Amino acid sequence: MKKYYEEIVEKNRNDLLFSYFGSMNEEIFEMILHTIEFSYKDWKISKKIVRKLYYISVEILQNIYHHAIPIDNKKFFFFIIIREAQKEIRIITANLVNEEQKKCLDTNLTQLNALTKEELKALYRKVLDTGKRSLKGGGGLGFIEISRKTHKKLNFKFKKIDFYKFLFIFEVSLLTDKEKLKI
Amino acid sequence: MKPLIIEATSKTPFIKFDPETGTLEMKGRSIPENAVEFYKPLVNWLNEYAQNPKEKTEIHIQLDYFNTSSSKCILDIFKKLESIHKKGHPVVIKWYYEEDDEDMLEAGEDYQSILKIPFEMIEIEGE
Repeated sequence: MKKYYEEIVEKNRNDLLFSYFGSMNEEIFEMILHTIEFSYKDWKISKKIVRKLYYISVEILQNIYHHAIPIDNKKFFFFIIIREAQKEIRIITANLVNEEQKKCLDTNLTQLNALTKEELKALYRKVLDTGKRSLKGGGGLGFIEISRKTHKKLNFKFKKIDFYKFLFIFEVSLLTDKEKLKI
Repeated sequence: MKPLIIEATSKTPFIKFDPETGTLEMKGRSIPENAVEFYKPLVNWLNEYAQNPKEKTEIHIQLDYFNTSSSKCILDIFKKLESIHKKGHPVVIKWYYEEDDEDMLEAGEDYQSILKIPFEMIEIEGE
């Protein structure tokens, strides 16, 4: 995983806004969100866009926190890269998942990508109103919400690590409004 | 019945539920890792309030961010209030959103589409 992360960072070093590779805990979670929330002036993006970026990042990071599997039954690692390219902010994350999670993600994300904005809105409202709650409250809304807030399809792939584990690489894009802001 | 007051943290909102005035307030951000745990006392308080609600209940929601884990729990709060409203004790939800925060406006509209109680969208100036 680390090698893959380093390759992406090196390839995109000219348009990198933020990157982190390591374990996840409360402090790391807060550090990443704090950076996103308060770096918008350095990153030259509007508060409006950083708000969407924050929303999406909370959902992605909490998904990872709840569902990522560890390496060798110890703490788990993940990475997050935020870069700016071609009038978009792109967030790439990666974490380990098992075979069952891979199948579930593949099915669900492919289905979400097939929906229009209106269909996503209807699905969100339906799941919000009638969907099952998970133990900590989420119940399947996270990816729907991410999908609603971005302007492109969700981009994802899996790399096989060994018989049991896959690296789930997930990318979302947000349009910046630099044209409008004349930055 | 005592008021419920919970101070805000970096991940949870300020809560003030006052049974004397029928005014309920939720302000700040709601991104707890376990939303069910945070919102449980609020739901319990509302269950008790519902036994003897004020003639009119107003809930003011002014959140800058909330995660999807919170969104279901917030709906639970609203559904408790909806049942109070249906029993003949009017409830109104006041949903505040910053100018140009289309996501928060949309979130209010999502709830409005599900619930059958008066919902006011109130635009406020950004900080």
